[in-house]
Amino acid sequence: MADYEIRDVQASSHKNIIQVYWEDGHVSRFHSCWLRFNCRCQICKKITVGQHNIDKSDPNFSDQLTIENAEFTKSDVKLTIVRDVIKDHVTYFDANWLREYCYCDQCLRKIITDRQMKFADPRKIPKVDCNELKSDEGTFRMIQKVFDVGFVILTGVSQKEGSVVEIGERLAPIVDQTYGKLFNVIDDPKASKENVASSTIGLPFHTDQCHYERGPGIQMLHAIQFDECVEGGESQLVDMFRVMEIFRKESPADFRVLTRVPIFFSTIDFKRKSPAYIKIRKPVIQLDYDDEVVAFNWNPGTENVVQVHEDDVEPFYRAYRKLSQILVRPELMFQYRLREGDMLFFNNRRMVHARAAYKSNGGTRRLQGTYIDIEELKSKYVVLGHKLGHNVIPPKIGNGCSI
Amino acid sequence: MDAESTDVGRGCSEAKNMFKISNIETSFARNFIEIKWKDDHSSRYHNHWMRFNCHCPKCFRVIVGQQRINCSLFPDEFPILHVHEDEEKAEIHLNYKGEVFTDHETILPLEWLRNHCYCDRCLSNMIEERQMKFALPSKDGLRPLHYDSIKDSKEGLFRVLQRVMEDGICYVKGVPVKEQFLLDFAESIGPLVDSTYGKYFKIQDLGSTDSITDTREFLTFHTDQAHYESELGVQFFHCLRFDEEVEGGESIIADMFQAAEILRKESPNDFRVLTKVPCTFATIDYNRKNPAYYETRKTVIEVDCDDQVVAVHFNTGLDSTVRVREDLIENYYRAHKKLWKIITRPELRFTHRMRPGDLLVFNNRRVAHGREAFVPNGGIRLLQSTYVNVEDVRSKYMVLGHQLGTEVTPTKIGNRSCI
Repeated sequence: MADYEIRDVQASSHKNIIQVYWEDGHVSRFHSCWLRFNCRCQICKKITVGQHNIDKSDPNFSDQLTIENAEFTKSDVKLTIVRDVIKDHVTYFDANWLREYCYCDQCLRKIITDRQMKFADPRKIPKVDCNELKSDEGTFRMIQKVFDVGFVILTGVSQKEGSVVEIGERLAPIVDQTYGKLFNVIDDPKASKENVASSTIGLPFHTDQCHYERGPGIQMLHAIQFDECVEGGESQLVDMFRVMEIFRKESPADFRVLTRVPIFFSTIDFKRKSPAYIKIRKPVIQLDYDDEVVAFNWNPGTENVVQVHEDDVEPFYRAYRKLSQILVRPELMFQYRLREGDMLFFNNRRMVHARAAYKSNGGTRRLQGTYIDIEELKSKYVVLGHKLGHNVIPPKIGNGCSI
Repeated sequence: MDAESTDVGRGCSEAKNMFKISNIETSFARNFIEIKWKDDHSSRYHNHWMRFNCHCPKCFRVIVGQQRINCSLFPDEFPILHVHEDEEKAEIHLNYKGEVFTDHETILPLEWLRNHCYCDRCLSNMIEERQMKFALPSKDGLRPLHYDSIKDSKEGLFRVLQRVMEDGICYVKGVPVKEQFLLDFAESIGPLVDSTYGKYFKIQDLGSTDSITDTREFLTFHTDQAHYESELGVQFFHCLRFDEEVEGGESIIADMFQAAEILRKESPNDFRVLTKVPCTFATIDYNRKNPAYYETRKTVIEVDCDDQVVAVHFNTGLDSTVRVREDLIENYYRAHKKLWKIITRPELRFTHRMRPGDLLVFNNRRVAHGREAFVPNGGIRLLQSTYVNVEDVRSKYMVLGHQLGTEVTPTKIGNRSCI
């Protein structure tokens, strides 16, 4: 990592801001409160997770902190704050840390653009041999691909029952929600009365578990059995973040509506084997503080009745229909027929998935699935990368924030 | 449901008037209908809404995950040709110009229609009846339930969950002091959440340098796991040991939603800032036993499209360096300090020194907790803890209520939704 050097430091006339002039020409501005509450001296710096060494609510900190004195060298800055709560306290920063946390508009923008998703070509199906998971480097590269493209097909997976859980567990904690740790997707007349996935009909594009605040991040589907005689049943995926970007460009007003007017999802069934009451209201498209798309919610199969202000009803349906039409454009779809030994491994917060209808013709199509936690997988990815000495930029994963 | 339906003065037959129609009119542009009900309420229903909620056997979803109507096949406008009431079946039927299914008639049951009215008044009621109610801890204290009175019964479990849902916290005394009890009890409610800390974990003074929890230090108010997109929902504290010699170590609890509403009243500008300027929460440690990189950015207070508070995130131990635009920095710190001072007001706080056999079950999305510093004096303070997803907890609550024939309103739970 490059070393940043300071050329000059000047305090503003009101003494509540310092301007740092860097050797490479960059200029940063830091406020007195930000400086004091992020002080990196030995007393204030956090060493242990969960520590908070600076009581920002201490009434002895005046509401308007002013800088008494600012000194600098090429590689650090020392300040004193007027009437600091700690006697003789020196607020300290090393240059590299300070530069890394610069919050000028340009640097803020860079944090986001560095982590933007890139959209892959749907004609290319990303495949990874599951033996790659035997090494740290192979595991790192596989997860990287999942975050880059949105999914991979793992090949050569053992046909043992439960392989999907075995592989999943090694990567991140299994998410046990509604369907249990391990579920089978197979044409089952009894089960198909409770869930349409257990049938041969085509499934529309959706993400799983939208009726929860936070759907399980990563879904894994292992083709344990997929006889040659079965016709159809291809797995289909679309990058919803790409769809939303197209939507935003082509119909900005409709796009805005879906960020504001919420949709309802629910699973309410007191009669089935595992009775449940889950209901939620949230927008289809979630924007963050920087007006970036950071998450979405899409499941025509579990949507519930829209109850929103009258003036919003028709605009909502117009916008919703526009988005549905973009989503099914053929050039956006990844399509792949799983073979026995293949495992689909995808980001359920980024990709919507579907299944083409199929005819059994006396054969069997059985997938085994599980979910693992995506924030834990991202943590594993960054930690592994750090261990292997790679320069890792933590990716945007579709979990509600740009970072 | 309309307010009139719960009016005690009205008789049963009058209440049924709310599902009977006085009059239906179609709008001039034929794109919505207005229904006047026999109890004088008026509802307006728009074309797309009615068509896509059709209850006929061809359209209505009966199996989870079904999508029976592909709305993108419909034209942009499809004016109403005809609408009439079927009094016997208590339904209305409509036909549209531009209908996609051949010979299709849209069918909507009257009771269902009224229950899903979306006029401003009905929408307000939907939100109002799910609002959280706040206690005054300094006056009410933490009223316990006794384990003997709630164990091994649906009614008992329902009473525990009712407190968690309505008050944000339930205190149960006299539970078994066995490790396995916590897992069994929590699992009877919903699946345990398995995070990198495992399915459950112990809390005791280990002089840890990995995490402040396993020390004897003071922990200010916080919600666990703010570094995740969604904090783990309902948390359980089960006290296994708390020797007499131990000085201090009381658990402290405060309702963050209550604090947020107080902030909204007392300092509306500061409230607004906290709904707009995000905080970064992070746990980044490559060196500890379970190395981790968790980072997320979200506003301390989240409001929805109706300006209702739907989530609060507060953890000064995990909050990382704020990185927001320059013109918002000072406002942010000022607002955050205001909120913190409200959360720590003595009259808003429950303080409780746990005893072996105590169980605290609370909604970690609503209620912040902390711990006073303690001095062991040779004694041991040992708790164990686990989590169940708050949505699964509410689901269990609603299912139990249904099974017991009790009318239950699902309260807001702090999961970013006001319903």
